[in-house]
Amino acid sequence: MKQNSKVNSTDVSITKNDSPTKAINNGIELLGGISRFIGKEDSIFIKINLRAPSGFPINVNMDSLRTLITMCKVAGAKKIYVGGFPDYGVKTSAINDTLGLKPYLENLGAELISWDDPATSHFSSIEVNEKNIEYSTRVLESDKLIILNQVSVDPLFKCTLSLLNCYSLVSSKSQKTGKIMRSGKDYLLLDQFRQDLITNILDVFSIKKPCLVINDMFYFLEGAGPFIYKDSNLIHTGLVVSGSDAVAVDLITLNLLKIDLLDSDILLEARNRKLGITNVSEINLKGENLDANKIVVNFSVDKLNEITINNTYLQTGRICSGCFKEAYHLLNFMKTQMAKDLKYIRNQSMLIGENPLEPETVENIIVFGDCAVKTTKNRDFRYIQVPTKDNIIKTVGDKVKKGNSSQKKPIVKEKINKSICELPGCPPDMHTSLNTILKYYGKTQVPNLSFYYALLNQDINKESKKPIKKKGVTGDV
Amino acid sequence: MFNEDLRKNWLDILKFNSKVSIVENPRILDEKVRIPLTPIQIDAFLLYNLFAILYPQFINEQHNILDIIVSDFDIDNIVFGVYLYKTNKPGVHETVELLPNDLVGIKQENLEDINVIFNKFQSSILKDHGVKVNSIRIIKKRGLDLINSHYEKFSNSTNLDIFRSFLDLIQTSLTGNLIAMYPEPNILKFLRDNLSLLEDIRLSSIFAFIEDLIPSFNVLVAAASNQLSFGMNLKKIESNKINSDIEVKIFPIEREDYDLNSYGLLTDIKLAQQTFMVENIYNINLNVILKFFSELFENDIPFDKGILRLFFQKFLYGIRGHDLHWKMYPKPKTFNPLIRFLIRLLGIDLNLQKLSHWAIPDYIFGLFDTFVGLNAKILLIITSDKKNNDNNSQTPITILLEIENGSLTKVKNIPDNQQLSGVDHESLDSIRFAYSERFGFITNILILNKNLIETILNTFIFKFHKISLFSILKVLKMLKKPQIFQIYPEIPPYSLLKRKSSFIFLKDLLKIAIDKHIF
Repeated sequence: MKQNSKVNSTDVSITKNDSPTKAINNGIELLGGISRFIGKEDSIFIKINLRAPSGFPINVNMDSLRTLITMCKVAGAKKIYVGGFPDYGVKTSAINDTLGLKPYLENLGAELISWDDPATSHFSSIEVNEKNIEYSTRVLESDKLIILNQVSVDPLFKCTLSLLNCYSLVSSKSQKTGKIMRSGKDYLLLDQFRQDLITNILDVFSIKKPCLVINDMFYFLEGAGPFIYKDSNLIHTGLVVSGSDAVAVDLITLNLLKIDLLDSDILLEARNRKLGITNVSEINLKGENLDANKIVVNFSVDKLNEITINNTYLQTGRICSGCFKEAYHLLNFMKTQMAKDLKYIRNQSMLIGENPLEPETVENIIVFGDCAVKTTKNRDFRYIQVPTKDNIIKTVGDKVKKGNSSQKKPIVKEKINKSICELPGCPPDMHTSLNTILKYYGKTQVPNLSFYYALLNQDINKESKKPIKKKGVTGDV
Repeated sequence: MFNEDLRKNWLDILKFNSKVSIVENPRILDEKVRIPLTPIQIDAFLLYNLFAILYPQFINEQHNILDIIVSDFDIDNIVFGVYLYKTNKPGVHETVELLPNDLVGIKQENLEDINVIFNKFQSSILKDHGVKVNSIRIIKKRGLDLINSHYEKFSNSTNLDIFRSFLDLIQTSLTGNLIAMYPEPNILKFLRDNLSLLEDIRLSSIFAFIEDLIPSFNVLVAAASNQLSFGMNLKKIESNKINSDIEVKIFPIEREDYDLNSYGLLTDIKLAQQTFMVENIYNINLNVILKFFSELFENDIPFDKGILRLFFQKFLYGIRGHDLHWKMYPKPKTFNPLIRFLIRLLGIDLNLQKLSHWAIPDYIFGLFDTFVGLNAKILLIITSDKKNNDNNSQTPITILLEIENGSLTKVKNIPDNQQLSGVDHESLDSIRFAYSERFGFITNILILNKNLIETILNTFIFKFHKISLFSILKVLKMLKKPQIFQIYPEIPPYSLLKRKSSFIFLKDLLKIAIDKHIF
């Protein structure tokens, strides 16, 4: 591993200020100034949060980014690149169109890297732990890598740590954690998805360690996040944590949020792999006092049932972290953007995970994820009992024969329940899921979703021009 | 100390109010006074009733009020005058008694603890006069001087000038803490906190800007309830663009002449329109309006996101409550079932009485939060047509809107002399970058032409009775024209509007905005 900075890697600064610019500036000054991280004529890659074509805090705080770029320029950086892979396969160009990033960064003297443009982006195949990872050549060739990470709540790891930010140095496709079954091991019980995900994150992180890591929690998104949902709330903490060891910076960030190392499996794994400092006593804290600045925030829900949505009944079985995360986003999306749709749908059941309980009704059942689809294949709700229509002449004849007045049981016929919307995938893809739900209900029944989907379609999926079919739809992934 | 006109009018009001309780039928007194701080003549008994209803609702519902005039300077005793109003009915000032200035000595520093001043005056007056004062109003001498100079404008100014002066008076008094009350009414805190959001923006300028855009009109706003009904006739007379004025008449609506239905609205609104010879008549249930504002004033500013959504819901619920909370004549065309049916054949459900008041705010705020962000700085540039000969009106108005956690926290005017020189004003990139360097990252630039604001005001307010599919489509089409409206960078909902046909876009939008079921 190349030595990235002259700063003692045990140094971590906590700064608090009324302005994000000053908080970042002061933090770096406490670590010895920007010139201790960046040399003259260095080419710098600043990895930022660039999740979606949305506003702050889904993406980076632009005032913080501006401060960092200015500091790099002052330190004599030759070239400053800024970028990151967006979530869910969204193109950087779509985010650029919404945020107007490219011209703004050019004016600042930096360049936005669009990795989805094959003409300009080159990737190298790096082997880590017997896996080949497609990694940006630009990042590899840059002299220094800096992580500017916006901290928000996260459904899997409590908050969006800088280690997670590093993960989006590889594409969404490469980030996809495949379902690898190990013989003799229960995939769900051990939450193998989570373990594989953590391994993948740390593998990507270990390719090129950053020289400077800034966890920007000046504004912190609590409640529901890291996307903006109805239950999201942005709080002003004024805090910024900086250092050259990402693991140490993340550990202090979690400590500020009153989370212990033992509660963070990603940091525990980082400790096992000796990727950074995981002992607070070994960290040389500078600036604000850690204990005096601990804050209480509302983290995102641990259980999907805690996301209450109008007219929606949730049944969950055993679930992996992958399905949990995607279901969390889908449910929060429904709560935020589909309030009116759900009012008219009246009854909707969602079955998530392995062996979920039976739905409350046989109408509008959304079966989420491969596990749910597979384990409910022969369930009662898959079939409905429909009374068969009697022959009218026979019915009248029976009524005439008063002697046989005993009540006859109506004849019922079993039919396949078509009010089921399956969202396959392990985990299901959010965009495909929305498309499938829209097809299932039809756009007249879910106008809010239809309108929102049209907005998303501008950025993500431009090929979905097929006519929308109603009811009994299976999503293809 | 007081302007003679102000003093005389105020004493006339007190004199009339004191007569009301001893006269069998106060209506027959038929006296006219002026509404305090305005040149508007009003029936004295109507003013009495307005005080009796509004004062307890919005200011203080207790008896006996004390006015204290204090100096702006730090002297031994800053009290310049103490006036005691004993009231038989909360809010209705009947008699005034001048008390000695040294009744309670106050120093400038004591104004920090207005509750202490209140307690001292209350106990002193209770002891000496046997009257329990339940609220005090402290007015600084500078505030009184402003009121006096405001009154001096009455003789040689238009109503518009006087109204602007009134807004300036309110803004200066509240932001400069020239007036204080204890217990502090919610309305005072609400107004002061709202005004603190404005930076370098005068209320009078906002009023002048809007007044310039609105067409000539002659409307009657009839507020009715079982307790009190009155009408306000507003008439804009426009001889030309520069010389215009607004006439305001306020008068009682007698229950003998106009019956109220079970919702507290005029039964025969058409008759009222003909009698008062107005173009439009808006009839509002007074109780509903009072309740709405009373709840609104209880909230802290900036509004909490949830509260803002709730009030938006209530506002929309009010709009859909035609014939329930309000009604207008001529009735809006879209309220006609036949017209609505014909439009419905085109696939458009334009039924404003079925506005999804419960869903629209969440959806709009959800879209805004997602695509603009919870924190944002929006640069609003209002342009005017170049064909307009008035050079002043050609200068764009530049305003910075600051949003934090989804709530508006600052509205800042950027005066001409602070606007950036050396910036390529044709390039939105460079404008955004230059302003970002000064004010922090500008999330979006919003450029809109005055014509658009004028059209929106006309369509949705002043010509609401003529609202139709075509008038809404006209607004949508205007939004697509870059010389009239621009958002930079473009947010997805606006890109969608530009990409889709206005008709289809409206159709999709109305599916979200209008309830599905007609029951």
